[in-house]
Amino acid sequence: MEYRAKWATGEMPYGPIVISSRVRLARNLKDLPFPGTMSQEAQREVLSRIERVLRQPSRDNYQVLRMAELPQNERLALVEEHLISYDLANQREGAVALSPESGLSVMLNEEDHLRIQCVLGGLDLDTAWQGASRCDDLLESELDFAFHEQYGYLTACPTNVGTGMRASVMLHLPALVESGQIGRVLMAIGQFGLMARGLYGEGTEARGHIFQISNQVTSGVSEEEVVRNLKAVTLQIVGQEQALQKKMLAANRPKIEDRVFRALGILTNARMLDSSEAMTLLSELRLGVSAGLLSLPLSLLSELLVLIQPGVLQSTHKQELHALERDVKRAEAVRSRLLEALRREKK
Amino acid sequence: MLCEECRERPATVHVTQVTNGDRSEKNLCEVCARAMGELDLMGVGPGSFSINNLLAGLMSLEQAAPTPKSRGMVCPTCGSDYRRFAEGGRFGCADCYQTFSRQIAPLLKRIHGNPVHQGKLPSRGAQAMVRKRQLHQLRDELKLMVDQEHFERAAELRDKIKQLEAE
Repeated sequence: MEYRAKWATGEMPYGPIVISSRVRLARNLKDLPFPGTMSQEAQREVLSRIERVLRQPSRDNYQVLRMAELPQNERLALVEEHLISYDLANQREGAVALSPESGLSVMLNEEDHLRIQCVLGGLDLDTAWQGASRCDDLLESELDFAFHEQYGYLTACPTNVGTGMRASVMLHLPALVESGQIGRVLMAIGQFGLMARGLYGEGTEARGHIFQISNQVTSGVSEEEVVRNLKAVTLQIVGQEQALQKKMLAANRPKIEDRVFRALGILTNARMLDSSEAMTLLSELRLGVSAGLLSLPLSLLSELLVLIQPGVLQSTHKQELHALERDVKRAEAVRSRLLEALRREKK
Repeated sequence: MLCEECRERPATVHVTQVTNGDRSEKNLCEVCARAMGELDLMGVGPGSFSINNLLAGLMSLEQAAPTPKSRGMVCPTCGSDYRRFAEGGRFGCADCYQTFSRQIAPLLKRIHGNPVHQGKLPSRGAQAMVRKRQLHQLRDELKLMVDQEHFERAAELRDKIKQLEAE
């Protein structure tokens, strides 16, 4: 399959624990109402004005996809690749401009006229912010954005007003969850103006031990401060997770090894995998790599996280699949990718 | 495990219900759970706890003591009235921030603490802000230079500030 999700490829600073970094900017055109109160015609006007700027030759070479022209599977796949939101996928006059090379995706006519986002692998918030800001500069060179002297960039939702920026990291924290310390960590980050949520699931029951941490306020602070703050807190959490993994391993190495290699055994042999089981087992595998028990490319771990999703599976096979067919295809995809990677590691 | 309702999709929602001490458990897929209204309990469906509802709550708080003026006010640009925000938590257009400024100011303060923009400025249409920020920076630096007795640099800065103020 063609890789559009830059965050699942390439370099991954702070590797298995930090899965990805994302920076999103919300912007609106000055002279048109926000998408929620707009007529379809006005929404089309937004599309054509913005597309005109993005289609020009630029460093990031955008490719525009309109939601109305994409089959449902394709739209779902884009959601699962973290390139668009679920809301945009259901937006008739929505579109996305992709620059897979630089990890940029620009959502048009979501809650705001523009949601510029840059998602990269590992901990790389600075580059993600630079990417999003570069796209903002390009659009701004030709378009006037809604801006208020005191409040900053104006957005449909008052929680985004100001910088319009939401910076986030996706973290894999199995040891913090299992030691029961995750609740304490999630509470503590609130004091740094950050918030956390389970990425696949709710609260501390996050499936696959994956959490997203992001800034809470968008006003009264600069983008650089937000990035610096989130980076510092993320490094603290990574340090704690690493220390706890070490402790877990020292206390009960055979048990952890058993878990990791059982997961590998199932993933390289199973003929059917539902997405919940796949998520759980991939989490064990990631723990194994993180704790140094197993050597696998980090990009493969992230790619598999995308590959096992129902929309991506169906769009790869270019057809709708029942749940059972999906389980078969999912097992096939995971098995072949893992076996191939293991063969390469051996050489 | 398959969904107990449709027996087709995998069960991803586990519902435990306790009624008068009787405990029952169900394993459902997301589609059936939604259809049966069970997902609402988990904060996914409409009417559950969400940022929108939380905001709407804050907004109706502002509205609790409506001034006669705000009651019938409608944004001239997009035609939204304040009730719309109080219910949906979304503004209709950029001008709503002006139209409803009296209600919005305390709301933004409650959300952001200090709703004064410190971030990036648009390269167009924000010259006044850019200048204000430059002046602010120069004055800070001037104070520092005077404190550290770097009078030559201080004099330079003072001239720069005068020039910028005169523009």
